[in-house]
Amino acid sequence: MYFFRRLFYMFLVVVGVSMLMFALVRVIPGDPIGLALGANATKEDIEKMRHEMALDQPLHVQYIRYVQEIFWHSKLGMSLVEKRDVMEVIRDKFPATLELVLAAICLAMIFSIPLGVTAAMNRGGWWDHFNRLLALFGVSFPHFWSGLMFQFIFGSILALTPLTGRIGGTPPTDITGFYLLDSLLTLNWGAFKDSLLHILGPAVILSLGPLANITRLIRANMIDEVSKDYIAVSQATGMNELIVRYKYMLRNAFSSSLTTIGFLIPLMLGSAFVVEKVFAWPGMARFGADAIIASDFNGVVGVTLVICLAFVFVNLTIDILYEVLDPRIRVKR
Amino acid sequence: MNEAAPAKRKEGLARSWVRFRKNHLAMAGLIFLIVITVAAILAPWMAPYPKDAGLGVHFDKALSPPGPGHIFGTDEAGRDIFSRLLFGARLSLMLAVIVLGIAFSIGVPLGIIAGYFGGAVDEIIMRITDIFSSIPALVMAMAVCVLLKPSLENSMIAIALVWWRSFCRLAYGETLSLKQEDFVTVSRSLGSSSFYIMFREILPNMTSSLLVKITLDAGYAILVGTSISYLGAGASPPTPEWGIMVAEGRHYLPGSWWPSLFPGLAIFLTVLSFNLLGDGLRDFFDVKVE
Repeated sequence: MYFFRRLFYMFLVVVGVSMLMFALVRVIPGDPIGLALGANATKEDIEKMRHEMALDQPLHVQYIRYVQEIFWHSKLGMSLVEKRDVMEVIRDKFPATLELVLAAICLAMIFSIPLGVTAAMNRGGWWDHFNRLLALFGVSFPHFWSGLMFQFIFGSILALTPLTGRIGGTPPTDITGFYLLDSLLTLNWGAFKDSLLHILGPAVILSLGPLANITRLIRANMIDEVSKDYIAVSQATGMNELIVRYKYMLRNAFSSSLTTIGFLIPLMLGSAFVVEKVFAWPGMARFGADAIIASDFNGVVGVTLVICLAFVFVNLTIDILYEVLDPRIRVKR
Repeated sequence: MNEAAPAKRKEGLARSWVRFRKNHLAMAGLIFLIVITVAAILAPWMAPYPKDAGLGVHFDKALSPPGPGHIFGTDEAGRDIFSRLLFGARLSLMLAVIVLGIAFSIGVPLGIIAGYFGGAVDEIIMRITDIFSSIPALVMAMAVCVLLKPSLENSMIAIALVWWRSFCRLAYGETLSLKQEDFVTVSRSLGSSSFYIMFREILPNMTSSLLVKITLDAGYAILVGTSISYLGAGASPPTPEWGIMVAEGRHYLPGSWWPSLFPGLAIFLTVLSFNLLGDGLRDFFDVKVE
């Protein structure tokens, strides 16, 4: 029952977002069509295109047509920036963004879990204070600036990483759309190293915020766990301290952190708008940023819809994961 | 109630101040924020080249590195970067004040109303909040800003129109727990109106949470605002806005690093100070605010 209620709410969110963004971009006072067709377009050309894109119809008629197009032809409308259907653009560019976001969240987890656990174990000590400072630093960087400085230091001065792009040579055979994974699957080491060096900069920059957030969260939840009875029991039985910390406490601390970690993913899709712009990463977020600036209304609605769906998907996944990780919830419901 | 009450209150405040002062990180943040606020207010008098904040150009001095005369160097039009940073501080602080002011006045009443009345009112308000919460602030604010026509003022309005949702959620959560408290029941049985209970009984009791939230969000709002400007949907050159200064300066990397380094550093330090202070306040009041 609970799950269906959530499902219904999430459905409402998707419909709400699509309507809101749809209406929002269509009241744009400028003339995106004229802009897209260029200065040579005659009045008739513009009128014809407006008619073709159904912009001369009432708003609700346009919306119904838009939804029909999605379900019947899986089309999201013409992009004025890319001059092809938005669905096609997103299909091409989404894997790049997803790869970047997943790489960043992995980086963040790898570093934040040991940092958070050790900070909690040395609560009030210098290591704990240092960690807090580190976390506060992490959330204070403007992405565009830390990205530029990364490029400046590691790309220009030290010449260790490429400045921009996703890969230098030819991309690996397309299996998953993730260059790192595809090159591994095809044992294409050259492409793997190439794409790894390219993803390093944007992934590190994108991971700084989540790294800080997750560290603080794990620390707080670990501290909550320390005072619980089962810890005293397992310590009294002489169980290995590392097993107690990383197996039992972390499991509980981590599952209470899940909601927040889930919320970080849609948030990172937003930060990716800036990071992909700085590193010329050929992903969906860069397209989204370009689309917004160019008043490419179909592009804007399409990209926001995908971000909203990602938000919904992550939330429902967390709901399910909670039950797997935390048996108490299963009983309660 | 007698004359001793205000004296006691004063003593309590003094004690709190002593306790708060022990948090060196939070104090460092507070001091930096005071310095930057004073610098922003006094910018026209403190800046060595006040005219450089606007259209003043000196191409003979373009891109001169940091040194005597120009401690942070000059930009591509020969304008003093330090002077521009001082004027930029005004814009960033103004952005934080305007965004949070509008977001607070929309979000907090909505959240309290939804939490206090519950039922259908709750459902409607919170489902709308859900819709706004499912898209990152930066993305929606940018879209709204372009719709309104890119400019600094519009970027502030756009961010505010997106920002209310988080205040709404906070006020909602606080109200749900506060309305169970005895003082609300007592007030209701004494015949207080709902309006009185919501805004005179419940609202004052969430002051500390809201204060922490405002401090932390001020930094975050500045990050979003400068990002929007950087991406070209907000302020436009030659406005001495920090985000646009980084955007303009990046064309001269790696040869001339100062036009992009210093404005970014200014953003970072300001946001960091808000975060240090907010984090300290969160510890001090012992509230859970994300």
